[in-house]
Order: sequence, then C-alpha cells, then structure tokens
Amino acid sequence: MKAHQKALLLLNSLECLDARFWHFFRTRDLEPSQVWEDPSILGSLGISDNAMSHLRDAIQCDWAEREIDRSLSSGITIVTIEDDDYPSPLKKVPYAPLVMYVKGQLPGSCDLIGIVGTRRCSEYARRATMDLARTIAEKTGISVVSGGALGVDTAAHRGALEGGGKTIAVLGTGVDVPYPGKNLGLFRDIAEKGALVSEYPLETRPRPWNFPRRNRIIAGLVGRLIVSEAPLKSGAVITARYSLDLGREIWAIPGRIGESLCEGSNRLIFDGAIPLISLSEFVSILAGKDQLELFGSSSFEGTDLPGMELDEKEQEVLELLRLSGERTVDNISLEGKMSAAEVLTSLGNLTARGLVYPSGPGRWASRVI
Amino acid sequence: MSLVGGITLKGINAYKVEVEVEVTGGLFSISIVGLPDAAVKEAKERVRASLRSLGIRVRGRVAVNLAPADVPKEGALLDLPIAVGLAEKLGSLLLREEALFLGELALDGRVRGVRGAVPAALLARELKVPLFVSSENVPEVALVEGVEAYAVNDLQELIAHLRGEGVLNRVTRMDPSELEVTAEPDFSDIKGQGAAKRALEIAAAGHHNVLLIGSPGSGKTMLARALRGVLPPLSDEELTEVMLVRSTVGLSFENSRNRPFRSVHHTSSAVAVCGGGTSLRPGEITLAHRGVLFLDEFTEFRRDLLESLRQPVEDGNIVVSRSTGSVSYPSRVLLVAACNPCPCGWKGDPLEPCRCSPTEVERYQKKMSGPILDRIDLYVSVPRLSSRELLGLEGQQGEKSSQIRKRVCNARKIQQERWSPWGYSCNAELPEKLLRKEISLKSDVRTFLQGIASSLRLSGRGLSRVMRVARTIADLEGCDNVAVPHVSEALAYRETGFLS
Ligand SMILES: [Zn+2]
Repeated sequence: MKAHQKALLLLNSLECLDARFWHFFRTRDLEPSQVWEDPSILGSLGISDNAMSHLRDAIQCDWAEREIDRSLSSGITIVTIEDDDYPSPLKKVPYAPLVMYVKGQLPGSCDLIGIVGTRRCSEYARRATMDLARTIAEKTGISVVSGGALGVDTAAHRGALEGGGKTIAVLGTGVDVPYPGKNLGLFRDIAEKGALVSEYPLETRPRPWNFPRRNRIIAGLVGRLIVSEAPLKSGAVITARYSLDLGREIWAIPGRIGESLCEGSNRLIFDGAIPLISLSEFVSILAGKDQLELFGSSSFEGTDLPGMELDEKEQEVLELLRLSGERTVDNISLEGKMSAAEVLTSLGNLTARGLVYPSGPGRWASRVI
Repeated sequence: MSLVGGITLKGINAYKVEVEVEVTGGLFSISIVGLPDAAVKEAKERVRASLRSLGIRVRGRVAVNLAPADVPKEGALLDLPIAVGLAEKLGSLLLREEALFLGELALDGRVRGVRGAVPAALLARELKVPLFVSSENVPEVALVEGVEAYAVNDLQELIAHLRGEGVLNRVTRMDPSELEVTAEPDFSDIKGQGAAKRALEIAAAGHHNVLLIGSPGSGKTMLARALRGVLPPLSDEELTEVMLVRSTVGLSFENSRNRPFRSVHHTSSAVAVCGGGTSLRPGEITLAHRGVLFLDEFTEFRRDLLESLRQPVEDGNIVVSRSTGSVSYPSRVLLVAACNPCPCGWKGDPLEPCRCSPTEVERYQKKMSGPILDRIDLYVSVPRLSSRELLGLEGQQGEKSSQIRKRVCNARKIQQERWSPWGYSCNAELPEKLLRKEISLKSDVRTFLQGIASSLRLSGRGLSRVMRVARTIADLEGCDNVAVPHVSEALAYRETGFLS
C-alpha cells in the first residue's frame, strides 16, 4: 500500500474533508505518512478533537489496511485523488472527494452525461428519461451518470443499459450497500456494464445527509447535466446548482406549468438551462452529427412487427396523440370518429410496437421518440 | 303416534325430517329430541300458544322426536309440522296423505315465512308430496315448476283444510318467460368511459374476471354495477339456482332475470364472504352465484381472505366445513375487483398531484400482484374525466345495455357450441392447454403473437390471457378465426404500464 493511499483513506473516513484539505496539507510540505505516524499535526491544520479521536481509533485498529483487504476481496477498486485513474473532470473540482470506491469499471472516456430527477416522477418523465438514456447510449456511446435512486435515476440507468451503453451510479451509501433495496438487480447490472461509485467507506448505511454530498460528485463528474423532472426542493435541483457553479452545460426537460412535480426543472429553464424539446435534435448535437444520418427517416415507426404496417386508423390515433399529448379513449374516439373498440385495437397495437404507452389511469400518450 | 313431514337445510339442500309426536298423561311438558338447535327448542312455546289460540288445549307430557336423529335441525322451520302433529295427536285432524310442512308460528296462529322454501319445494317435487308453506313464501315457491304447494296464512286455515272443511289456495306457477333483465344503472346512463364499457362487454361475453383501476371519483363502482345489465339474462335453470340460494338465507325473489350483484367490503369476515358460522349460512360469494362479486378497494383486502376466495372462484363451488360435516355451496361468480392506482389515489391523474413516495407505491403494487390476480383476464384503467372532458362528451348518446347484451348473448352462444364437447361453456373457463391447442390461428396471427410476446416480454400466462381475450373479441364479432386486430385490442387490456 502506498503511503498516500493510506493517508487519503484515513482522512476520507472522517467524511468531512475534501480536495481542498489535501492541497492545504501538501502545501505545508507534509508527508502522507505523517497522517498516521504523527496525527497530532492535523490538529494544527484545523481538525476537531472529535475527528482526531476517530482518526486515532482507526489508526489503532489498522482500519485502512483492513478496508483495502475487504475491497480487494469483493472486487472493489479504491481510487484516490492522487491516482492517475481518478476521473479528470472531478479532479479539477475544489470539493472533489479524496477517495472513490469503484465497483465495476469506470469508462475510459471522460465525456459523461448526467441525468437526474425526482424519485416520484410521472409516467411521462419516466418514459422520456428512459428513451433519452437509451438513445444517448445507442447513438453516441456516451456513458450516463445518475444517482441510483428510484424514479428518474432508475429510468436513466436502465435506459442506458438497454441501449447497450455504460452507466455510472453515484451512491450515497457504501458501494457494497444496495440502497434502495429494490434496485439490487439494477446495481448488479451496473457493476457489470459500468460502475457503482461512492466516496463513502464500505458498509456505510444510507443517512439523509449523504445524498446532497453525493449530488456534488455527479455535478463534478459530468460535462452535461439533464434535469428530467424535479420539484423545486429536490436533489436534482441541488445537483443542477452545483453544475451551474462548475460551468457545466445544463439541459432540462420542459414540464407542464402549474404542476409541482416539474416546477424545479421548469424554473431551471427560466434561469437559463437549455430546454430539451427534441430528443433526436439533442442527441445529434451531442454526437455532432446530422439527425438524418443518425436516425434515418424511418426512425419513427417503432418496433418492427413482422409483415405489419401501421394501418390507417393506427396512424390516425398516433397522429392525434402526437399532436395533443395525453388522451382518453373517449377523446380519441370523438376526435377520430371511431368506436371505442377501434380505438382500443389501435392503442393495443401501437403499445405493442412501443409507440404509445398508458400514461395514467385510462389515459394514453405517444412515446417521446 | 303421529308422523308429520318437515324439512331441515344442509347447505342449499333440504332434507326431510320426520316429526313424531307422542303424548302421555301427566303434568304438562314438551320435550324435543333429535339434535334441535335453540330456535327449534323454542318451538314449544310458539306451538302451544298458537294451538291455544284455536281453542286446542295441550295437556300431558308431549314428546317430539325429530328423525333422522343424527342430522342437526335448525331454525323455526319445524314449528308448523310440530303443531300439525300435535293437533293430530290431540284428535283435531287426521292426516290422510304424506305432506311437507314448513313455517314459523306466531303466538296468535299466523304462519310466517321462513328461509328454505325453494329447497323445500324442490324436495316436495322430488318426493311427489304436497307442500304447505306460508303465503309469504309464495313468490319464490311459484318459481318451482311441478310442485303441489299450498299457501297458508294461519294455523286455523291449515287445520280446516286438512279436515276437509276448507280449501287452501294452491300456488300457481309463475311463468318465468315474462321475466326480464331490469338491472340498473344502464350503460347509457354513464357518460363517456368508452374503454371501460367495451372492456366490460368483453368480460361479460367471455366471463372474464376484471380489475378496474382508477382514481376516486372515476366511477368504478357505477361501472361494476352496470355490468350485470349487459350479462345474459338468467336461464330458467339458473333462476332456480339463484332463488335456491336466496331462499336459504331468507332473501326474497327479485322478480326479474337480473344476475345477482354482491359487493364485499374489505373489512368483511371470512365467514361473511365464504360462508359458514354457527348457523351455517352461505357467504357473499354464494349469494353472488351466477352473478357478479364486486371487491371494492381490492388492495385493502387481507391476504388470507383473498387466498380463501381463490379456490371457490376457480371451482365454482365452495366447501364449508364444520364439526357436523362439510357442506358445499355453489360459487360461480364473475369477479370484478376495483382499486386506486396508488395509496393516495391520484397517481397519473392530470390534475391532482400524487402524494405517495416511491416506496409506498411499490408496496401498494405488490398487493396488486397478490393472490387471485392471476385469475383476472382484463385490466381496465378508468380515467377520472375532468369537467372539460365531460363537457366535450355532452350530447353523445351511449349504447343501451340491452343492445350490448344482445351481442354478449350471441357471443356466449358461439362459445357454448364450440366448447360443449369438452364440457366448457365460455372462454374464461378454458384450461390453458386446451386454449393453446384449440384456438386456430392463421400464420399472420401467429407471427404477430410471436412478435409481441418478445417485444412486450409476455410470460406464458400473459400470452394465454391475451389469446383468451382475443378469442372472446372475435366471438363478439362472430368471427371463426382470431385475427390480428382482435389480438391488438386484447393487448389494450393488459396490466397497465403506468403502474410499473
Ligand atoms: Zn399516490
């Protein structure tokens, strides 16, 4: 074990120090080994007595050595801020974490895109996020970063994986603590096709104050951040504020006005975030390629079902939904002059092709792309 | 010794009880033996008082034996035969032929209606003996064809008849062909909800169980109630079955061919739903036999209650056990369950925000995959229409229930003809194996099914469900073969995606 690694692990275990402290430490011409050989020196650098006693305990019981052993045996890599494989965009952030625990493989490229939003998102936002992440993965190969939570985060990770891409989940717990438990399967997939990362030591349980800190890492990692759907007071908006401070590019998916669920994301647009109004346009910008080149002209036909073209009624129902958003069967049958059975037949077929989805009880909407 | 016929109920069947009366000298007393329950034991007071009202004095030690001795007897059903036996023993009349007597006595000699008149009438018909019942039971007894039944208002009238001094009115059979379906509300009374109405039409046509999902105020209960108006009218045979069940719990005759509609609340006890209890009554599921069983706020139901419904819903009958043996009740019901999309009820609503956390929604949805849901073929989500949307539907005249019922009846007839060689009568009853083997699919439908099965990641069971519903949709159209549009429509009634 290298000296700096042990020193950084120990300092990181205090859960209150970041890159700024390390620079301060280094500018004092102190050796990393002094952290454990002569910890009293840290007191003079402004570390509280409380933290000092915690540090002494950790040194006493060889915590750092055991942390490394445990990581090794469960396939977790520890990357410190001194290491070359520490993500370079994050390294430049003043509050960068001293240590990152990585389960899986960090993507080689540092071109990362973040997608964040509320846990209790609407079906529309969930679908839009999923489509967005999948298309980004399919068309650009850029890895998607999110927070591993339910709702928008889960949709972002899942979409990226479905599109055959890599994805990074920045957790607010130890990388070996699956939280929320429902995402256990998702985390397993991410560890295989991307990475679970966290600044928290192994076995760190979910604590409410972990998650805002986690948001800074997402902001620091990504070059672009997309806020999918977020109320005013939400982690996603906090992440966006961090990103703004770091000069990252911020996009937001517009939501309906007057709905509290998307008040935060709409507010970001008002404050200068770029409204994401077309998925294919956004991805073309991302890839620096022409839309037609990227998507072709037949991209709007959905999943191919063998030998089946959309018939006239199906096309009409789809057009109605694309034109006017969410609709009930009653609306469609009135506007399209069809019976409920005919409308349902079209909706059933369009759902099977993935062009349409049920967006709420008795309501249907067309897919984003 | 006097021997008079009475009945007792076991399940929905009547069994003959021979009432033997013996009077010996001594101080007055009445003892009843032969597994009587408390209500039977109280008969002695009612019998003595009503006989006294006719001027017949009961003296000496009266012994009443109810045979067979090992069958429990319950209720006030045996008042009348005991009184008749006693009157005969005391020389007030002479029974010339075997007969069944059924009724509860009031202290002044009036004969009250009791539960069990229909099973009693069926028994009397089988034994080819006349039946004497309270006039209050006449409407239901009139439904039974070929029974010789007499309406009794009071004991005096009955004794006069048995003495040959007067004549009781013979019950004339009611012609059931005059009966119709009069169920309310009518589909045309419900504004909009075209999708739900269509789904219920399919449910009625194929006897498919339904789950209605919608926010409060979307009209789930009204739709469920309207369902019985589009179900085929009860056949004569079914009418008797329904009346038989109603009669055993003392419910009167509805004077229509309406199928039963019974609503079960989630706080109901297992006994109230499935039957049983100390006095052994059929539960709501049996009262809904041949009709609709509505489980509102489905997700609030206790798991064990739902578990106990599974077998009866599948088998069409329910066995209730108690210390003195088990009893079987019919329970062929069309299940309609209803629930909110989430705990607060507003998930997916365009106006009201949902206040549930993702974990709450998740926990809630786990309940929606609980027991019995694998018996549900149609998932129907019901929108809560905004006032603007309702206004847009103004002036739109929906189809009348009677029109829809015609299509449903035709579809049922087709199914009956198709499946009768295997002993089934509708698509929902069909076992999965038979369904896959016997539903003929053209090659284009086969490829379409394969395509959707993989793109929608349908499970084997999910696919069968789609095929089953598609078959019913084709039957509604009178098509021999299931075509792609039928399958497409069936796909619109799958577990709704907005809940995932
Ligand atoms: Zn809710």
